[in-house]
Amino acid sequence: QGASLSLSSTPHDASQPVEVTADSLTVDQASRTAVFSGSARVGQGAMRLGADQIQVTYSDTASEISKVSATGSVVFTNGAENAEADRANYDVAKGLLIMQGNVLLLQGGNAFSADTLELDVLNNSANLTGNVKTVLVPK
Amino acid sequence: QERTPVASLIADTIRFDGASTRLVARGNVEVFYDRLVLQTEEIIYDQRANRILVPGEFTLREGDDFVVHAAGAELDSKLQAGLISTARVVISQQLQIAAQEVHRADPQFTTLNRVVASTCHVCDKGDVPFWQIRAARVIHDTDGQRLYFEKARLDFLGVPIFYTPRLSIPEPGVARASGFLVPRFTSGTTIGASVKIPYYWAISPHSDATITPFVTSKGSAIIEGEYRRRVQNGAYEMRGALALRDRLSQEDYNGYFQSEGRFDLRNDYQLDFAISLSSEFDTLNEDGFLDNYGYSNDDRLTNFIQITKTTRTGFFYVGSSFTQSLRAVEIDTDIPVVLPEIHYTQSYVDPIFNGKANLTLHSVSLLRNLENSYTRIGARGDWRKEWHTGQGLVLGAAGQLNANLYYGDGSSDFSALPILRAEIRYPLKKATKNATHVIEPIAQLIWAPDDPWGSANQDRSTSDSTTAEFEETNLFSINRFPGFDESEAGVRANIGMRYLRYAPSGWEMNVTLGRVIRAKNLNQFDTSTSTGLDATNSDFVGALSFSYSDQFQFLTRMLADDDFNVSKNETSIVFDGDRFDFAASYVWLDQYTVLGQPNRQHEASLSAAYMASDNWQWTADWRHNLGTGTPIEGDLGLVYQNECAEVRFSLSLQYDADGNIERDYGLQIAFSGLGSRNKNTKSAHRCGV
Amino acid sequence: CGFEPVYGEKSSASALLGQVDIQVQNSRNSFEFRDRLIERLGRGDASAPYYLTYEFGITSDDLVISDSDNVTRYTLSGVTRYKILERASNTVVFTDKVASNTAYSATSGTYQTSVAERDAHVRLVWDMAEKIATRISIVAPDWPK
Repeated sequence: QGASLSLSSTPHDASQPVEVTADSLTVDQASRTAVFSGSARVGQGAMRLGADQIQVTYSDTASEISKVSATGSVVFTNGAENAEADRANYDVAKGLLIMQGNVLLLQGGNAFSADTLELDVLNNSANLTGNVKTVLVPK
Repeated sequence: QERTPVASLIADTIRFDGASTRLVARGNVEVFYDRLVLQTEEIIYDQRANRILVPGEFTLREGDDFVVHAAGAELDSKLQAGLISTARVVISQQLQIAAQEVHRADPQFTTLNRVVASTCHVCDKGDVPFWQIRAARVIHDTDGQRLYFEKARLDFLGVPIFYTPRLSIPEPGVARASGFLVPRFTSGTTIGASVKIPYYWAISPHSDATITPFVTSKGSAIIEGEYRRRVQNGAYEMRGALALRDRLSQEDYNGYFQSEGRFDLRNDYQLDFAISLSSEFDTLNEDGFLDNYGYSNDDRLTNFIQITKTTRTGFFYVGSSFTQSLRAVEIDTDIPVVLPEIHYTQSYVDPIFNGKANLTLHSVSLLRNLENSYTRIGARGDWRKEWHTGQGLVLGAAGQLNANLYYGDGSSDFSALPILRAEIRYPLKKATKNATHVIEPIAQLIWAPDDPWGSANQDRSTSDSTTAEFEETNLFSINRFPGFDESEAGVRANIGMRYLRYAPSGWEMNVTLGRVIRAKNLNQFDTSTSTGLDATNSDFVGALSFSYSDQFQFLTRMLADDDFNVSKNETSIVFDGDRFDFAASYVWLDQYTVLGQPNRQHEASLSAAYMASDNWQWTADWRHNLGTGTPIEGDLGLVYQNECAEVRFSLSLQYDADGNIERDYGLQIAFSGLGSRNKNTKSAHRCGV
Repeated sequence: CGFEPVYGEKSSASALLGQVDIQVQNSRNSFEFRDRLIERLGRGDASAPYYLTYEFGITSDDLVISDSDNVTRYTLSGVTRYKILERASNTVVFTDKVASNTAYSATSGTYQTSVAERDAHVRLVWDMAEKIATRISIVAPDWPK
């Protein structure tokens, strides 16, 4: 029932290529998933996602990544916003990032803590739920 | 750099809109800033404008003292400045103010517009509170702890009774705030209708005063003043009244002045003083100024100053006193000034018998219109020793020696009288299931010469022993005269017994019975028949009292001669129930039962209070002269009390010898919940009852 | 008939004599009250095992008002609430209150009446002291030693 919130002025282009780096990689052709573990990094344009372990799921045509899920001290940034959480799931097509567990969001001098954060990277809006705490700082 | 406090927020959800810097918080929203807490369901915080918009119902709280319930507001992020609409403000859980608009300019001042303020419970919209103040505006100064009303109208049960452009009252809980107190109205046959408007002035943390103009419909105008002051080693009070115009007396400028004080001096000396003087211009009715205007009906105003010190083994007193008598029969010139009176007692352990030996040195000088009319210097020795035998007998030996040197009217004289006493007591006890009974037979044999050595001061106007009581409290005393000038002479025996039923949580009973048997009647106690001590063998003295915890006390004491006609009976009953309590007393005194009291006294008095309901209480006092069958005085009172007010109606009646009655009606209203008078929760008005 | 002496060979009332120290307060009433209690209970010094503290409540009321509206007789009602403290363990072993009542006349001269009033106060506190001494003598057995 939350309305959308736009987060930063420059809209994100979800069509850019996604690169992934990590210490080790295991691939499972059958389920078309690849698990990067050991300070794994995912990048798409200005957006960066880091975590202990990142599992990438490829679309049927095995040419692009359809879903990214990260666990273990997940860190996200897209230049204007920075967020941390225990877990994160990113739906590349819809451009929707959901972070859960001890979420901390920093945005232009505002700090929020909450249980979950829904980030719509396409139209830059965010929705925090679950004992949300913040500090009211005038701009 | 001291960190300025920042407003923090908690909510179930927050939507953050980066572009327009608006933040929407919803669900159990709480905003904290310093001591302020805002609680609501939804707020919209506009970062650029730094405003908090509260669309719906919310509560803004500052500790427990200041609570606002309202339907919408726009505030700054520090919850300070801003506009709240249709709010109900509650201050210190006592004073409620419903306001169309609440404007908070800065932390200290809150302005409330189009306001209804009251400390009474308001059940629902339509209900009319017991009293309320309607005002165009109220400014609440939180630092000054004061509320300033503009264009205020006081409604009583919905009826406007008082309008004032300006009104300022202290915040609830403020004990000492200067300002007008609630006026008091009385009306009576003596002074007509009257009003008092007291002004309380808190001068400093250790002194305050009350100034009260008092005007009556018969044209009297009086200024009353009261001043209370606490100093480093004590405190004193002064009060008085000055009549600028007194229609009840030929002269104006009648008045009275009173003062009392107590000071701790160095090494445990203590000084006490009391001053009480009143003008005595002859009034139209023979009552004095004090009685006419209801200040007091004392007919003797005592003034004294004294220094006392008490230690483990001694007592020291030096004092001077003067009494102004308002009794028609007493002329001031023959009222003595006691200047000074000294008592110094030291208590020793007697080395021979290990008994207690007290030596009291005393002196007094009486001045009558500035020349000395009597001086006495004397000593009293008291020796006491008790032995407890194996079988439980208590043997007592005692001695008293009184020696006085005195000067009066040019002559001087000496008198001394020794008294010896042997005493035997045999206290016995018996414990039953729920009480312990004690019976104590007492027999005393007393020897004293029939006449004192030298001659005692018989002058009635200067001797301090012209009145003597005879009752159970001095049945067994060695010398029943109250002062030093006379001592009880002759050989006599005090015989009697005491009984006690002691039950810590039940009925307790005390009985004392006895009489005095004398070898010879020395007529020391007046020749009349009824002092009880006049004949050779005294009247029987009896006293019976029983009580039941704090609720019920009964006491009766009696003096009756051999064929049982009673010359004295004083009886009192006190009952303290939770809704009903009363105290009654009955007195029968035959002629001369007390020295110097020639006429018979036969009187009964009753006072009762009844809580008819949580709000209504009746009080009644009545005193009746049973000798003449006529009433003496009476008071009837009706008190209505609820959580926010106390209204006291009173009627007092004074009957005088030739039967005409003085009636005085009184109405007194007190608003509770304002200043130091807390709300009375016991009899709070309950909605729908 | 079941009565036994309060004092006697092994009675705790006798054992208590001289064992109670009594609080000093700065007033004539207190001096006279203490003086009479010392007569009954013996003189306990500052190190006595028991310590008695007390609080007077004395009120005066008009008993008789003559028809010329003068008060001719006053009554004094007294209550003394007292506690006995066992000094070693600093515990209160006994709490009680006694009441007494007396009267005095105000028909003689002003000086004589003030002496009568003072004597009435002394009689009142002496009577309460006597009552306390009697009660202590029968309650003493239950106090811890």
